[in-house]
Amino acid sequence: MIVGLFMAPLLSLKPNRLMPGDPGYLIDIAPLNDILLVLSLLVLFLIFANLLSWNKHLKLFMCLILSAIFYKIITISGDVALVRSEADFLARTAFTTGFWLFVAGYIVVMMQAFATVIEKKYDIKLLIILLTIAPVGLLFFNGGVGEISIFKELMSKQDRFLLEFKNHLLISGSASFSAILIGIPLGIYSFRHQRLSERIFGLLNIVQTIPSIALFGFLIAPFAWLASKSDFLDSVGFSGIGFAPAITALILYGLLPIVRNTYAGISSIDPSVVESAKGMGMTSGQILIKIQLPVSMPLLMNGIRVSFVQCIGNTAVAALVGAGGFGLFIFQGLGQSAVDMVLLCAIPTILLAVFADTIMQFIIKLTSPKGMDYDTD
Amino acid sequence: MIQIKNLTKNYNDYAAVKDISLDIKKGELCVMIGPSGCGKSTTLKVLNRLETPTEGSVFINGEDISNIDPVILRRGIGYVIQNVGLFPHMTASENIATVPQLLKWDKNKIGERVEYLLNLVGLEPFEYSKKYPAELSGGEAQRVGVARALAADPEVLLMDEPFGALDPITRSELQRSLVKIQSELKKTILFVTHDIDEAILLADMVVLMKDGEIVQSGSPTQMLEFPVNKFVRDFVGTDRALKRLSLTKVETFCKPAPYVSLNTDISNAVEMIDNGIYIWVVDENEKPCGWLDAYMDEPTGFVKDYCTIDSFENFTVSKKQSVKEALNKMIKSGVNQLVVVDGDERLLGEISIDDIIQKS
Ligand SMILES: Nc1ncnc2c1ncn2[C@@H]1O[C@H](COP(=O)(O)OP(=O)(O)O)[C@@H](O)[C@H]1O
Ligand SMILES: [Mg+2]
Repeated sequence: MIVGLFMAPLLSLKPNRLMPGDPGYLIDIAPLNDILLVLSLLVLFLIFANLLSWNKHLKLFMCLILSAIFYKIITISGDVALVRSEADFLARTAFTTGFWLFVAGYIVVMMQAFATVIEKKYDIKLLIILLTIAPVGLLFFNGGVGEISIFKELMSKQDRFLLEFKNHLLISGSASFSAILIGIPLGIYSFRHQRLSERIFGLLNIVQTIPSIALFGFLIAPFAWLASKSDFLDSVGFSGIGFAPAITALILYGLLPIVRNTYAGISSIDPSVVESAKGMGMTSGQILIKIQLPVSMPLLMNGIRVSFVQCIGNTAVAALVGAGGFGLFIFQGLGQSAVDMVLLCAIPTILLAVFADTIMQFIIKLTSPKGMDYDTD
Repeated sequence: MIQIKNLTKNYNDYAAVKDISLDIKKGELCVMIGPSGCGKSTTLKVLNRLETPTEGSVFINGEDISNIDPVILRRGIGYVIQNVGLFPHMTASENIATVPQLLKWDKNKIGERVEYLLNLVGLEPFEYSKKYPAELSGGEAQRVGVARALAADPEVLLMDEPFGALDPITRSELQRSLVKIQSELKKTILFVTHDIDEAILLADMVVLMKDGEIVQSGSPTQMLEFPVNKFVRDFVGTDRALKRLSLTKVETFCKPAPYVSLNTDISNAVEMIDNGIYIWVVDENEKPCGWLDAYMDEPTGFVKDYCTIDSFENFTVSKKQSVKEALNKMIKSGVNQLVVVDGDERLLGEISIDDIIQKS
């Protein structure tokens, strides 16, 4: 992290959007006051980091210091970019090695802090997450960074960005939701029909081993064929490329974790529990609703979590068949070698996945029945 | 109450139960016993229709159970199994309330019922009602299991090796609880076990099975006294004479014994010993408190100056205790006879080892 700050160029000072630029080191580009501020904060951080016992308040304080450094660095960069673009409006100022090194270190430290918080202190965990993203959030409010390349990219495509963000959520969300609707009954079905279950899992495992790009590709032909055969399908916008094949592929991918965990959850219940339920006069529906599903809830929800997070990532690939979402920008950016554009969408995709994961873990804790130790993995 | 008529159950080609007929009277505790795999559980499960008979039929209260919807039937029959099968995500109370809830009882009525049942099975409601199964010991869990089976006050209770997984001490505690509960509630119980001592302790009637057939049925005493063949003899064990004594009460062998009170003049006491070697001594409440040996050098004064009274509880049995317990006490205390007391701890007579050996 420190290496990133001082030894490597923080910014790349480019004459225009696509040309390579000159390296800009923190020492060279920042005003003295700011350098001193960052330095002293760093020293403070290092001193605390070497103290032996970290209690939760100290931990929060350290996160706060780091968060402040992060904020300072972005604002410094923002100022530099502003000055340069006032001089030459074609000039671009982009984050480069040093900045990304710092961000990597930043995230590692924050994760470390997060991971060492005791299991049930949700308030502290939440605070750490907030502190981590606060600098970025703050900047959106005071807008001091509009001239840095990645944000310029964002500004110039703000509407598209928001649209694809919505698309991404819509695609992942509806695919995951459908996967849940199909996956849970399928899991229950495989439990009740042990012989068929082997085939179901065999099939789902095969789907899982097909690389996602290939699966999206495979579906284009049959979907185009279907659409051409049926006027109705055609009229509701069903075609070889776009939404339909993307959703279908994502659902197929999302099924395995849900079906597997539903099946495992129900199978893991002590048979004597089910026998006594039956012996007491519960119908098989009551046994399912009152006993089997609640008891397997932690495992089942964990399956949904894995499926959902995986789906958010796969949705980026779904852009290849024209479904939209962040993947669109990523592939466009790759095509144009515009690294900022790739990052602009790759980072939110990752953040979205991490965020979904955290939320789901939280939901898992909430829905786990009391009285059971909820080991989910 | 329960009639099993020519019941046969085949699994594919394998006959697990072969042409069994059995009558269980109302309020009777019938213990079905036999080596593992002889078809006990299968028979039990036919009664609540967890298994369907291949041939034959079962009547409960005169009604052929194959005409009753299995779900309705089961709600009217308590079912307790070896692994308890408590619902892990529900508290003890919620577990017990299961069948009343299925029957849509009123909420207050369920609450009262749960509290009554927890007390009945010996669990303090305040302490246990909110506990989850994971927080209960094996014995406590099975107590909850018994309470759950009794929840809707069924007439019939089916118990499949309910205490089989417990350690010996906990097991005998639960056996005693069951005896007490049964003396209060008088349910019709079919109880499966492979433990002969448990069978003898609990049963009004014992049914001994082997390879899907009934070998012998009858009262525990009949079974011990007149085993029909070598299999039964072997099964009840070489100590069946002793086991029978565990079924016999002390009062059967109790005979009158002379006694004197603490404040009797010693010379009168010596006269009463006569040609015996000792005499029991009682206090003012006629509670035995010691004995007097015959051989004394020119005694003067009262009985209380001469009688031996240390740890006298080791020489006393109640008339309701089993002869086996009396024998045990004699051996431990190194004596040939014990003084027998009634329910109020008053002296009733004595029991001696010679009488036990001669009369049994
Ligand atoms: N569902 C089943 N399918 C096939 N065989 C069974 C089944 N249940 C029990 N058996 C067989 O029937 C016989 C009697 O079993 P069971 O009634 O459980 O014996 P136990 O007296 O030990 O309770 C055993 O040999 C067992 O293997
Ligand atoms: Mg059995």
